[in-house]
Amino acid sequence: MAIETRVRPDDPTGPTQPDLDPHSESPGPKSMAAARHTPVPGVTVVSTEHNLETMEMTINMGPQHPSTHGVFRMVLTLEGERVKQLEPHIGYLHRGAEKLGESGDVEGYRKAMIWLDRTDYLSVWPNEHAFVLAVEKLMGVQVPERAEWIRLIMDEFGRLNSHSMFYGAFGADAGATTPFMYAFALREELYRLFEAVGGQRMFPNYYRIGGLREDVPVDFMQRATKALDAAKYALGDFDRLISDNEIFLARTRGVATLSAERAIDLGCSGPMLRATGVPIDIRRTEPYSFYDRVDFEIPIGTAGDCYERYLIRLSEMFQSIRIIEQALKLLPKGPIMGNAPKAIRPPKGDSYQRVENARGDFGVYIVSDGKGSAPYRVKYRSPCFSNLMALNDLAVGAYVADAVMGLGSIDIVLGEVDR
Amino acid sequence: MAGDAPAGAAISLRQTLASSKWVGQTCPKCGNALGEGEQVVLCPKCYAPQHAQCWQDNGNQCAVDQTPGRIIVRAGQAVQPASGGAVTPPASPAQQTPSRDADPAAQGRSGTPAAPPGATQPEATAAAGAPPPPRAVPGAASGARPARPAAGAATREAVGLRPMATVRESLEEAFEGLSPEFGTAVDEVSVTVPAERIQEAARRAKEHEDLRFDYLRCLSGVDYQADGIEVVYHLFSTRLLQKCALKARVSGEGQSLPTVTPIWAGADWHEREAAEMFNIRFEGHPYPEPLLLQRDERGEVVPGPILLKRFPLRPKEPPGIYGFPEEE
Repeated sequence: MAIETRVRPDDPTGPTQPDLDPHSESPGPKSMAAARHTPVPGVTVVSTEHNLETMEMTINMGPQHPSTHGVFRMVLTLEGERVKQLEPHIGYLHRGAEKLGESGDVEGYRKAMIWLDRTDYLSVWPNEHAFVLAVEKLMGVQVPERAEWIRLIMDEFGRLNSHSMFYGAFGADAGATTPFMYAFALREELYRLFEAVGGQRMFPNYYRIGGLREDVPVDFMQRATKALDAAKYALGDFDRLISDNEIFLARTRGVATLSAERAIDLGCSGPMLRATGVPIDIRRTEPYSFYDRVDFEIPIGTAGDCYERYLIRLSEMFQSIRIIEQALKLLPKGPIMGNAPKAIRPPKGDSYQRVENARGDFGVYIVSDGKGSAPYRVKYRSPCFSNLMALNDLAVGAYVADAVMGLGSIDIVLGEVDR
Repeated sequence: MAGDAPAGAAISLRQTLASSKWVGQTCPKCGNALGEGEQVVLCPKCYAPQHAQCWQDNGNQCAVDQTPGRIIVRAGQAVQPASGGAVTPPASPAQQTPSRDADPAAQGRSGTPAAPPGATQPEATAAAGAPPPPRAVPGAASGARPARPAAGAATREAVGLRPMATVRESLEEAFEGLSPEFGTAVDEVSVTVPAERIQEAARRAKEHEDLRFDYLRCLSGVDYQADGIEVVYHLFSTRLLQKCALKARVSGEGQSLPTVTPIWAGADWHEREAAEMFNIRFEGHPYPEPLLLQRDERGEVVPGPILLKRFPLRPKEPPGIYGFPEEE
């Protein structure tokens, strides 16, 4: 059916219409909006132009929304399908991990680590590492080489675990549920290793100030090699499954971009920062543990979009495998506990230790008053907390579905944001 | 799927970079080496790299094991002749990511101020449209790394960063007139300035050419009870790779100090958190509302400034509220 259109009366050469608009200010030909209300006898107007009035809508997304990865609430002001304003609300999972960490009566430093495990439940190994390094730095404790190598190996396995969780969740954000199954198949293998080493699947509480709680099991090499083989096998699947998928590319490429200057200004870290092209990785800029003895690369991006954040995490998993393979060859025999005293009482002072956990720059700030058996003040610098501040930059102006992708690409763990 | 499309798995066209691992390998079809800037596909089965043009000439099959595969050609992209060596724009900046690497520690170890790592490079690469210049491979520089000091030594300086003495000299120069007090927080310089001048100190720390502290890592409050509340800013320079701790102390709860959000936008949530946890105020903060805690119907922050030492860990429950007799 052909759509009939009428002569537009704002053409001065065309037939003029009588001015029937009582609100018009200027005489003569009317504007399009005014002319549309002008009745023209004998002509049926069937217009394809949109003349709908839009209205801003404020909706709550979360805290129980599945795509918010936990308990996170966004108050979205929408204009149509676009996000006009976004106000994040956090704190639903605030348990006072810092206050609890300061309140242990006996062996308070070890008790603080238990609470630290519960903050970021995916990146437990590097976070424990940061805590023990901060206290060891304050006390001047020597750590045996074997213990330090085992810590490095377990840190990297923890990174593999966390990134594979990201892979599954991010695929689910993009509408693909299959990656979740592949990711959890790998995580099951890793958790078996964690259980063998630390005795617990999620919260091992395995590192001790001065070394480790106990030595790894006698068949650690076989178990680690088995987990590595599973990771290599799974990573090939991960890459082939969605990296080149057209739908996934359309959902992620060029979506939720962030500039390098803004990322630095906001204090973003980890894959969020490296996707913008800034090659800052704590393992390289301030090598802790034995990261200056192993060979690995730092993948960085250029565009700073969701796809690069995904690719960087995937590349980091390959690098983690590379690091673990080197470390397993270099793992020496020897004691696993250093010269740390039984009662941990660091001298008066403060120390701040950063590590690169799966989400970025994780820091532990410890103040000791020199008397108590618990830290006088312990502060956890959560990378997600700073990365989440970039959500406004990622989501405002984008579609709601793209805001979900932006949030997913931050890889938030709300337990760590709220502490 | 269209009926006339070639059979086999979908394989993506890759733009070879200088750091691609297949550079220099031989294409099994034409026998020539794979050069930089050429379009290459990987066989989905044996992962043998070969020219995209050779793949198509071979009937969309691998030249090694005849695995069929169809090349996905994205919009604005076409298969280029293999021998031409014409430098085409990369398929996407994102595709370069896995093979790119960087070595910021090498910049830091040289002791000279390194170029800003991220400020200009991404735009330049995107605008030029050419493959990025080859970067230093970290493995090649591994021999030049300094010997690692004993693990756990208390006073060791961080490897790869500028030494503490240099940072301290620059800080002394930059903070002239702010009456700074210097100290040492184990492996980094700490400097305390008066609370009312913290914004000025922060601005100088960010803008001084030998400091360039453009990255606020952490903002913590510490309650020293009778000695006041200390706010600690852990700073880092992404350009010069150095760190320090900036401190300011207010006399107690209810007091205020200037905000640093105009200098570092990332201080926003950190200051809101410190303000609610320690009952202090940051003057000039754009949105001074509680972040992790909430306000009750009377407008008070509940449960209160929990990180103050006077705040009990477990509040006393009102007796007999549940109808049970009060326990002794």
